[in-house]
Formats: sequence, C-alpha cells, structure tokens
Amino acid sequence: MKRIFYALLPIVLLFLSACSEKIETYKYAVIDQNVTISGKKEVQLANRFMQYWDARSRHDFSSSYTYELPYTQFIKNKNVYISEGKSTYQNYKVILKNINYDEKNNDIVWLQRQYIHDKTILMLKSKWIYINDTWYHKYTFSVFPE
Amino acid sequence: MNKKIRRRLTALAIAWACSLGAVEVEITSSVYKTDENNILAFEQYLKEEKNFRAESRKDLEKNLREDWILAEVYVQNNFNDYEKSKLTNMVNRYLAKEQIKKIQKKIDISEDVVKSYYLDHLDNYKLKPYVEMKIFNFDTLESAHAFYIFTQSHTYDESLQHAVKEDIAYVQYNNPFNRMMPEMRHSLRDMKQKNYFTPPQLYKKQYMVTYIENITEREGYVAFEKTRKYIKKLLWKKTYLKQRSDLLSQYEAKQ
Repeated sequence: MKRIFYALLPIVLLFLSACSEKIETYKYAVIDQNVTISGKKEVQLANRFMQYWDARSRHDFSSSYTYELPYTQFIKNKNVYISEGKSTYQNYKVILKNINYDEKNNDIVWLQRQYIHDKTILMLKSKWIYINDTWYHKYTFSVFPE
Repeated sequence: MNKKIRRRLTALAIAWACSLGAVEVEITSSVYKTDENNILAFEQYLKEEKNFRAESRKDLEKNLREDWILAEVYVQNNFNDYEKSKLTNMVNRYLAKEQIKKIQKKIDISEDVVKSYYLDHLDNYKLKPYVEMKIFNFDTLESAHAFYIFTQSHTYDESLQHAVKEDIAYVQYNNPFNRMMPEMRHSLRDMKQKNYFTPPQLYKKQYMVTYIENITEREGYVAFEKTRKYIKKLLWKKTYLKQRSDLLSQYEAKQ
C-alpha cells in the first residue's frame, strides 16, 4: 500500500502543479487576448490580478485586503481599508491589457488595465511586487474610479 | 523618552494635578494633607529629575507642602477654566501616546513586511553619486569673494597654485552625495563638475569656495540588509494610527 502511495505521489504532485499554472476565470476581471502569459510566476500574477479586481468590484474588501503588500497590511487598519473601498464604484469590469516589468528588477511589475463602468472607459495601471513567492498589489487610495 | 521632554511633562503633570486640587481645596495650611506614597513619589522625583536628595523626611514634607501652596497660588492667579481644560487635554494626549507606544514596542515586524516596503520604495534606496571636490576655506567673506573672482579668469591649476602661494587652507572631500551636510547637498544639487561654487556660510567666521572635480553617478541600490534596521523603525512609527484604533476597538468592546 505504501509503495503504491509513493509511486502515485509524483503523478499527483505533477497534476497539482499543472492545475496551479492554469489561468482561472472571473466575472469582473479578465485578461485581454493579446496579452501573453508564460511561466508559473506570470500565471500566478494573472490569477492574483483577476482575483483581486474581482473581489474589489464585488466590494469584497476583506478578501482584497489580503492581496495588498505586507507592509500595507501591517500599517493600515482593515476597517479603514474597507471603509475607503466602499466609497468606490461597484460591479465594474477590469481587463488586463499589458504587463511591464521594471527595467532593473523582475520582481516589480506594472500592470495596465482597462476599467469599464457604464459608459466610462479608462486606462489605469498599478504596481505589483513579488515577495516570498507571492505577488502583492500596491494599494493607493483614490477618489477617482479604480 | 527624551529627558528634556519627560522633565517638562512631569512639571506639567504636577501643575495639572495641583490645578485639579485647587478647585476644591482652600489655601490654608490646615487643609493640606499628605501620605506616605506622596512623600515617596516626591523623593523619587527629586532624585531622578533634579539629581538632589532631601536630607530628612521633615525636609521632604516641608518642601512638598510649600510647593503645594505655591502651585495653588499660581493656579488660582493664572489659570482660568479654559487653561485648566487645555492642560488636562495635553496630559491625556501624552498618556494616550505613551499607552500606544507601549503596545507598539511589542510588535514583531516580519521579513516580508520589511522587504515589501524596501521593494516598493526602491527609488529611495538608489545609490547617490560620488562627489570629489576641493573646499577652500576663508576667514572673511571678502577674501573668499576675491578668490572666487580669481578662479573665474584662471585655470584650475593656476587657481590651486595661487591658493598655495597665498597660504589658503583647502581640504579634499571625497564622499557619497548623501553623506554631505544638508546645506552643502542643497547647494550642490544643480552644480556640474569642473565648476566653482560658494555654498552658504556653514560655520561662524568660515567662508568657502568649492571646486567640484568629479561627480560619479553610481548604479544600483543600497543593500536590503543595510536598510532593514531603518525600515523597521520607520514601519514601527507608521503603525501608530492602526494601533490606536485597534486598542480603542478592543477597549470599547470590553465596555
């Protein structure tokens, strides 16, 4: 029984890693067809981007708070973060349009996104940083559409 | 805490405490009362703040009583209700800050938190240019001005020879830009190399003419290991508002 378990373990792990590299789908956040995503690190970035904006669009700020940079979570009170988020629009759509890596550091990336809400269409960008094998969003509070 | 601030706040707290007493009690020696704790606290205060030891208990009691009477007189003559409230608020604010600081000191800052701050503010940690320059020192503004005019019509070598001939003191200064005095850094901000400039007077009776020999731009950033300690300190300060609201919500929930 033990032998079978150890024999199957690599296959299971391979299957799980393949699953983790899959790009998921979300209601309010999508990736533009022209954006090419390659490698495990970039897939994680795309997934976290969509998870983050989908949560924010649904006004699920408790979830989106966990995607913010560790130091932001450290110094910013969650309740303040949630109350700031509630002043923004809801149910908008976000499309990932472009990925720009920092010239000197591959762990810093600027993601350009299209924001669509009713008749408003905007091009915006935000910073994501790779820390300890996870991508985090750089939070800035703005009264303008996100 | 800074000793000066502590001393000032202790004095403030004593004045405040006296002001509260003054509302209800008349200034007569018969009304004044003290206890063992009060005397011990006063003795400790004298030892810590004034570096003075009272000779006997009798002296202590006497001093305490006299201070109380004088403080009463001062409060009754100089403090109206507005000022009393102002003082109370100041003391409350100080104590609130102290309470938050006490909590802050126990916070552990993880490596991920520090690293994320470093990467997000990477531009702040860019290595500053390396500056090589000669600083000519003068006792009077006139002599500094005369030398500066001389340099404008002569080459660098000629000016240097002139300085040696005239016995003008100069020092060679090779340092990264960020290690300079802020005033010097400010003056140098828009300067180009192979140029003279006269920074503001940095010391009394000392005027300078500075020649920038070379400015070397440096690639890269200050290592994370070197900045860790400073970032931790900075982040620790930045948790103030969060700790304040967390503490308040805890306390309010208990009530």
